[in-house]
Amino acid sequence: MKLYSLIVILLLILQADVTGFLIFLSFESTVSENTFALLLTVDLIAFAMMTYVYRREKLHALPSRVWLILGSAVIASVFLSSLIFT
Amino acid sequence: MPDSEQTGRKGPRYTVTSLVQWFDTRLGLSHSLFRPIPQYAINPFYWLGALAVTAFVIQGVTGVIMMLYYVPTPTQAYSSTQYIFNTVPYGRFLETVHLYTAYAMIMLSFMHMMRGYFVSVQKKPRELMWAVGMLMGFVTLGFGFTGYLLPWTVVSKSATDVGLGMVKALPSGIASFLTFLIVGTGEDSTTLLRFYDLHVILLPAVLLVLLAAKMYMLETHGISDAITNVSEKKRRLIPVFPDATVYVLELAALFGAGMLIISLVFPLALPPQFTPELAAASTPQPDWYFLWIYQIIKISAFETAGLKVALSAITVIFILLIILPFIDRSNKRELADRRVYITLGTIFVAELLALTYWGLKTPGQIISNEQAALVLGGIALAVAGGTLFLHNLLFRRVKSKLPIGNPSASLRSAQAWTSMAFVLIVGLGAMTIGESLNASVQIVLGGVTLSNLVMLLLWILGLGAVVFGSIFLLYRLDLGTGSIRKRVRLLEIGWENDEAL
Repeated sequence: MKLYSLIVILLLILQADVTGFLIFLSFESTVSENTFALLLTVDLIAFAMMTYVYRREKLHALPSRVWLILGSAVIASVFLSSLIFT
Repeated sequence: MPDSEQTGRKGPRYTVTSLVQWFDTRLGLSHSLFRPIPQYAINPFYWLGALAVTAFVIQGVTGVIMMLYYVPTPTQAYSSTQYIFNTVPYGRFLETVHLYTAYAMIMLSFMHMMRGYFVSVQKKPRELMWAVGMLMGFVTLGFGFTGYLLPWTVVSKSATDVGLGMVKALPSGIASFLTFLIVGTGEDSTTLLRFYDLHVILLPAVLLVLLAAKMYMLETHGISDAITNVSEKKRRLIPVFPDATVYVLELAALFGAGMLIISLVFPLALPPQFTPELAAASTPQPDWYFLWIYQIIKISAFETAGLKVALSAITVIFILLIILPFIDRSNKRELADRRVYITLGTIFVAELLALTYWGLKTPGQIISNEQAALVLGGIALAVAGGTLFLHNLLFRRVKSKLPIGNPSASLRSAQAWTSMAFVLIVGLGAMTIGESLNASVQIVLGGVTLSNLVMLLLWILGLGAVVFGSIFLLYRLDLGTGSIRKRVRLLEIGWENDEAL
């Protein structure tokens, strides 16, 4: 179960970092438009994953590995896309 | 009991729990007056309306930002929209998100309505909730109608002009009210200003009032009971905060993420500005959610004098939808007991989809009466026959053969997959039958050409694939018992003895 709490902490750190980055993102270039959208997506998916882990934890049940791996893969791919499009 | 409560220690495992508790301690959210909801409502299908509201909120936020730059006059509407697109930071993205969430709101509202119809949420005592929900749906369509004109593009202005022309053909009371409300003196500047005011002030205000009324009634009556057998564990009540709130936030976050990705992948392109010359050269076509009406009024019987009849019939459909709970007064809610209404609902969805697709494919083309009767009648007949057949197969047989009691998880899963496959096959079946008939009529009317023959052949092949899918579905109707071989064995020994397997 500790693995899941680590996931939550990692997701929180990720959200905080991404939010911080979004705040300081330049509004001037069109490239930053893509970055903004992709990082906001990362933020939202990370939030959804966190609430999912919380709901499962509240039911004293293990979160589904499939959903966690899928969510992490989506976050990683969107994050990488944001680096490519920047 | 959680470990931390036993040991008194707070581990990292409880990070989110602690965070939620921190807010709860200070705000007392778990002591809210909201009625608790059953555990089985933690399912996306129960929250389609909440997602539509989420789309409305996103539109509100993006809309307010665009209001800072938009000028609602015929001379400046297009240039200010262009300014938002090209100069305002993230302007194009903002416009795209605004448009796509509007589409999502319409789609989610429709799905919410049809789900409610099929699971009978409109039954006593929720009749007025249904009526208010329908009014909210019309307001949502009103958002689409009024918002479409605002960029003042050739597409939006021409389509709106067609819509405004139709207003005069509506029943006189409705026509004079709508003329007063949206047309005004008839000048472009008045109409645009009225559309803008309706879009940003009146309609949001009306929607919020209706939403408040619906929420009040939801609190009074609670979430409607499940129509399938649900275990006691699933019936356990859970508080709105944090359980349901966190779940809705999770869905909303995923919805928002989806909208962002779609907006990024398919950015909006601004069509040319409206000019009378360009408008004369283009074929007016409404946005997709009004294509079904557009296709109906293109049927030759409804041209000129017949338009009044068509619009009156559409108005009657809308009124019937509002007063549906007062027509369908039976207390029976299970799908198995509502064969007629399930069939009517399926025909309604199939015809809407077919008309929308048809309208998209035939812009500006007048549809002959014979073709319309063949396609629409053919779809209605095919869908009615298919629905009744599958309903009989799914429910009668299941009811008489399966042992009484809660279905197993595998059975429920199989039923869910079968239902989804059933819906897909009915939709595809309606489309392929309609298009095959359409292609046949094209050959009769336009003569035998290679393209007509190829189209007919392709649609017949599609129909063949649907028939094959239907046969496969019949094999899938083993209702979670596993392989076809096992199903055959079940047929041999009878459903009652399936535990012997």
